[in-house]
Amino acid sequence: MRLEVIDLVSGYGDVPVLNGVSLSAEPEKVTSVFGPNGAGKSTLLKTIFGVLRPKSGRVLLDGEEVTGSKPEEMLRRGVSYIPQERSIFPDLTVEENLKLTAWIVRKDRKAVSRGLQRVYELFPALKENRDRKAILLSGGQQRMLEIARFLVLNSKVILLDEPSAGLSPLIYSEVLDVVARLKEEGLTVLLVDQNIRSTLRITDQVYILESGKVTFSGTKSEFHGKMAEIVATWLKF
Amino acid sequence: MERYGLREDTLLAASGLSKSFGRLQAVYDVSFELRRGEVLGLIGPNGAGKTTLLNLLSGFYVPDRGEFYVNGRKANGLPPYEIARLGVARTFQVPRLFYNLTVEQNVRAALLSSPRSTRKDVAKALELVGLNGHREKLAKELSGGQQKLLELAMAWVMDPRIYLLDEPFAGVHPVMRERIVGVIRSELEEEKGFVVISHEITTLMQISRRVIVMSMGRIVAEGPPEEVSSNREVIEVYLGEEV
Repeated sequence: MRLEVIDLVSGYGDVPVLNGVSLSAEPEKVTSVFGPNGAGKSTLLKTIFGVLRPKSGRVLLDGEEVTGSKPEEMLRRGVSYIPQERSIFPDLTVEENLKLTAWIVRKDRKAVSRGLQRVYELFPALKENRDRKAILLSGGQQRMLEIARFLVLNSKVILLDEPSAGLSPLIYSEVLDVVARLKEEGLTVLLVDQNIRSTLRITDQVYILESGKVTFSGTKSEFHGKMAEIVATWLKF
Repeated sequence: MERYGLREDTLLAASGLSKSFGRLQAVYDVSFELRRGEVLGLIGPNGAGKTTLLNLLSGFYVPDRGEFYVNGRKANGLPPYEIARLGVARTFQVPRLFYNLTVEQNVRAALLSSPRSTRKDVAKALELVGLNGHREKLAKELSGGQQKLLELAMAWVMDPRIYLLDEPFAGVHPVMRERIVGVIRSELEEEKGFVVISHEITTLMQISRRVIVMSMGRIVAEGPPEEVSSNREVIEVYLGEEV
């Protein structure tokens, strides 16, 4: 499923954050958005998913207009959003977490059970721990569970907000392996993160967001040669 | 104090401060001095240990190792209210206010924790941050930017010598940001000192005399803004680590 954002304007109250952002994310690709803090990266994902209403601009899924759709509608259409903050139910087991997420949008037992099977095939670590409370998982496994929940819903587009937050570099690397698997499964991944070097490993397309505007877009290799120069400008004043 | 060879105008001095949480070394061997009339900027990627450092300096955490001095008095191990009494005021990334009290009541509440002799005027505090017209409003009715201004007024009214500000400009409208900068500048003239964490690099570089760059709990660079912003190592820090 192709995600397209055209000239998106959004913010909080009278504080403008996104000032006309356009980008697209393709299936079987990881599209990463980097930028200094406060550039609007999280706001971008929240606006796409409908947590925030855009002031203007458009969001399209396979060419179909979904601008201003509520989060539950976006979920039904196959778009999932994984926030920066932990979003699992700590006292429920891994399997309960997976089932509960699926149940919210789809009361089809067969589809849920198929989804579960798919998740367990992709993430053996979650299968091994299916009866453990989520809180007892490692930080990396918890993040894995957060991502996996949306595969039960059969999501086609995954919006990932700062997947590296709170994780050690080694654990983050494991999470990136998980994201790479999603891409192989044909999903569209749009992620924002601060850790440019690590994230670049699994990235295909790069956008740089500064002060609510896209200031660079290109392939991973186009970005690679310029990244030190781009980051240097963030420190200028 | 003397054995550290501190200058007379040193307001705050930290030496080898370290703090870990389980296996995570959040702050490691951090030493610096804050002098009268200066802003010390603190930058670094998320998770670098900046807020943990402020939590150590304000007594919310006790350092595992190292020590720090406030106005020449050893302050590690003291609870937050005693550190506040030494003249340290702190603000938070998400303002900690009494959300169901009015703007004015919040400022009055801040006064309760400050020694009588140093009390400043509540009305003046509100005028300074431009919240005079909102004194009867509940704190929860203010915008995010106004809440930051209120927290600053609550710090100012205590007449601290040292301000520790955590992301004072985040999510703040440019006009209000200018007001905050104005308050900082007027306090600098009074020889106050500031440690300011901010991701608003441009604003922070403009007001800081010196900037400390942290990454993975350590200080990786320190110097005047011009020097830090062109430092190769600092750029590397912002690119993140490859794993």
